[in-house]
Amino acid sequence: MSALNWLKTQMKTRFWQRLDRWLLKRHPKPECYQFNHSTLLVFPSRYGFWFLLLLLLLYLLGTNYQNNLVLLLAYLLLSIFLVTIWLAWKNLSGLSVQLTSKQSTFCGTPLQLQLKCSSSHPVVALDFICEQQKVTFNGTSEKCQLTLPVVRRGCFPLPRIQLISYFPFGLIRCWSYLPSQGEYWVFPTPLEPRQQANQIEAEQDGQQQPQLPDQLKLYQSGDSVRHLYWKRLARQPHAPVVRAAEQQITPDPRWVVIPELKGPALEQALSEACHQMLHLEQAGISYGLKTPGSQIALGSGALHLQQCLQRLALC
Amino acid sequence: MLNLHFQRHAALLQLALLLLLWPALSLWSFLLLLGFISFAALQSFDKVPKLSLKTANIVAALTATLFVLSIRQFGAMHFLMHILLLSALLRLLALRHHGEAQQLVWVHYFIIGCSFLFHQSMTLAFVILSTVAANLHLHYLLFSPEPVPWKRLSRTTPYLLWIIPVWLGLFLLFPRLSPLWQLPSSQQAISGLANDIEPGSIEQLVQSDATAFRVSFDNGVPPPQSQRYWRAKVFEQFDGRRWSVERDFSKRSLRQSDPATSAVESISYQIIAEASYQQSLFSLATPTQVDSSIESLPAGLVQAKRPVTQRISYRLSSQLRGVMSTDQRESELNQVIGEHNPQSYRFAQQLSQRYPEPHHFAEAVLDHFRQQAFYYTLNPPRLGAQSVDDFLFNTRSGFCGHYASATALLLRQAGIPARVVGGYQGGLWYPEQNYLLVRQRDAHAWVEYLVEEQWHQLDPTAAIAPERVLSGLDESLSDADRLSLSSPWLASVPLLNQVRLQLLHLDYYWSVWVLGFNQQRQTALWQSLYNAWRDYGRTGLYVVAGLLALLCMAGLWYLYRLKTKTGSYQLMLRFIPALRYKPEGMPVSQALARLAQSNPALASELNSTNQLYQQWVFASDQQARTELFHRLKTKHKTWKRLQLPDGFQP
Repeated sequence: MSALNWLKTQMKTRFWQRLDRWLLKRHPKPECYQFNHSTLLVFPSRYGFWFLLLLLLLYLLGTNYQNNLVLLLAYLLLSIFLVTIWLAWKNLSGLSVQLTSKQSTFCGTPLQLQLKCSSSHPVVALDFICEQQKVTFNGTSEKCQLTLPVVRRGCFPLPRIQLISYFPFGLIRCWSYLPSQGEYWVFPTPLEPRQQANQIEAEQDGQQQPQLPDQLKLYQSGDSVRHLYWKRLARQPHAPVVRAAEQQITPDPRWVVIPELKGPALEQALSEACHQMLHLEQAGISYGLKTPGSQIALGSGALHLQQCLQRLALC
Repeated sequence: MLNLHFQRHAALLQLALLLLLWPALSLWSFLLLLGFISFAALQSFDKVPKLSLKTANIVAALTATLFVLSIRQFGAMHFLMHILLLSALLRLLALRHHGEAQQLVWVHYFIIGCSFLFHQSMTLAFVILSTVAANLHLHYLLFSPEPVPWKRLSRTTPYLLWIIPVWLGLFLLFPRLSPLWQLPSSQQAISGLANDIEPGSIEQLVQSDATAFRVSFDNGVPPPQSQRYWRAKVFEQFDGRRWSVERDFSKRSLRQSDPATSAVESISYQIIAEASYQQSLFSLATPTQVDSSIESLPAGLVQAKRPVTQRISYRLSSQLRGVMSTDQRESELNQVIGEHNPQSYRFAQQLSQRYPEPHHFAEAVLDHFRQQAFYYTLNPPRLGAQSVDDFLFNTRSGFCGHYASATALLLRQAGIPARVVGGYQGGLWYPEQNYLLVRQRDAHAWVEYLVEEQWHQLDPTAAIAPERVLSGLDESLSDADRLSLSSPWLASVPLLNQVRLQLLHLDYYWSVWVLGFNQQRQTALWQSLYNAWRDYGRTGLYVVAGLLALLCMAGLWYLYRLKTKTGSYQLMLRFIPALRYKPEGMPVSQALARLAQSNPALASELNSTNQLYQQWVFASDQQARTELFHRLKTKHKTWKRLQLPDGFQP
């Protein structure tokens, strides 16, 4: 069963890869997609097939009763069906779509994909579908926005966006895809440093929270076991405490350092680092980034910030 | 999308459908369904809430049970119509989702198709087609964000116009099949001649001005009025008052037409019969060739294979001579006189002693009608159980049925096999439209008697009221009778009459060309298309080739003009579409430079083109012009992909 599933996923990915390649071959300019006869797909919709069944029934009715008027009705509907194919294609043909978005966001903030559509004639009832999201577009030139919910930091390939329209009678489905090309970045959520937050919390309800010296902080999963403060653990087994890392003892404000952590602790550290960097960038101070295994030299500016944030996203 | 607008339109459309299916409904079911529609109408004005699916299902189940219980009354086909209407109406009442609305529209199309089974007249066909348009509108509303953009429709019109040739082409050329299986037919009161004739029945029939059937003759000339006896039924059983069709009539064996008589000239004609809800059809004298769509019956009659519920057309050839007798039993059957009407029996005996020869006897009976004080009237006095005695010796006034009945009985009483024939006589000939219109008021009854294996036609009405046979009913009636026939205000407005007549003619063409188009006609059409191809195909090919050559030459000439004569500005604009959007006043060379800036990949291409252009324009360099033209032409696809810089407005 699992082998079958594996085969299925393999075939699916293969299929979409081929489709992307096919689409890219047909879109000469990757930044602006033009839709015409070579990129639009046209096929009867499910309702279209029901409609064809209706035509068959009417034909049988007309034949069995030898009633020319019923036959005339069947042929009229058939010719409308045929012309609808043309109209459905005509509706989307000539449309050009430009993907304009900065393609990066912070974790928790949905990614805004901006689509700039323009067409020489008004396009009717065009839906952009992207991962269960649907935006309808009408008219000649307009900006459309697709919001893509993000949950994890990292670098992801941009999703494939489907354009689909059932105009005018829902009998014909005319659709195409914006090929999945490029990627988008999800940076860690910027968060105020933990200590300050802890202090505020502690001030609010001092009784329940253990009072900690500056060098100690509450354990969270992912903290190194070597830093555990064993004495305290015996007294308060429900709230283990670790010694804070050295760099926090002598912090150089220009260097943002990511300690060697895992799990939620790492996420926390990354979020704080992100906040710190944004802060530094805003203040115009040059800064550098040290992560376990690599480092980015001091600098500033949008490009530098982006580089650092991307490094954080991949940690 | 599923707004009140949709609901309102749908309720209106359903009302139209309900009215169109009226012939299939009984009064109570009509009122019930009307109630559902008014509920839907109230919903569309937000006066009452939507039904829940559960309620709708319960109502549907109850109503459907009611329909099933009265299925005997309805008949299978009308029951189906009830169920279709019910499903559409209740679907609208509980309409919530888009998908349900799609189903609704689908069922509407089917109901519209079914309503053509009940109405084929041209006017109603147009009404039904307009309901198709209304349903298309509903269909459009389902899938489009806004109501139909009538202003922008002009852009789509060329595509919409394609519907018409495709539609007609399909109608004319798409293969037609004969009925694949038997379907239940509509049950309605029969019209036209019934299966028995008693005093007064034909008088009722002639009150109607409705069309019975129309005939067109292949040679374009109808037989003279006195020979237009359209036979529909033979009545061979008599009970003293009523003539009826013999019970085992259709079981009699058919007689093959004997070759000795095939020398008589025959006439071919096409009949378009209106719906009569019975099987009997009409023919002249002895039919020799019968369409495959209808059947021959004994006694030279024809009938449809199933009750005529819609207009049908069929072709026949007839020989204008009496029908041959089928067997001995037929002649015996037509001599039965029964124990009634003793007075007429004595009279027949006396007469047959003076005229033993059958033809002479028949003539003597007619003479009797002529010489005695008999009257021809539409309102004869009522007759008793011994109707013939009563008529011959007492009232002495009657309509064609009375005379036919009395004559047939007298013949039988004299020992001559005789029967009453029912059908239509005469008809109005419209020479311009080339058809004969036979109406219900032309209903007639006459007599046939058998001499030496052949039935001879005898019309006693011709003796008593020859105008009836020679120029139609109106001429033979008294003024009072005539007035009782037609509604006076209609007859008194000549313009209205004229309009009515024109509509009648239009309806005829509709019947012939639309309703009457069948497999044979389609085959004939294919045949004529093939013939045309065979005869003119080669010529057509030459013509098409010639036209193509002309087109090519025109194209070449256009290119030549473009190459040598076109001005610099037009030439550039012709090939580089982006230049058409440049700001007004900006010279071409500057626009090209701007384009080169915004299209870095094509910059060198554009710059060298710009150079050539300037050389040609400012230094009048003809060499540069040729080179420029060549470059513009070979790269014409590249120029279409140019990105517009800021300030260029498409």
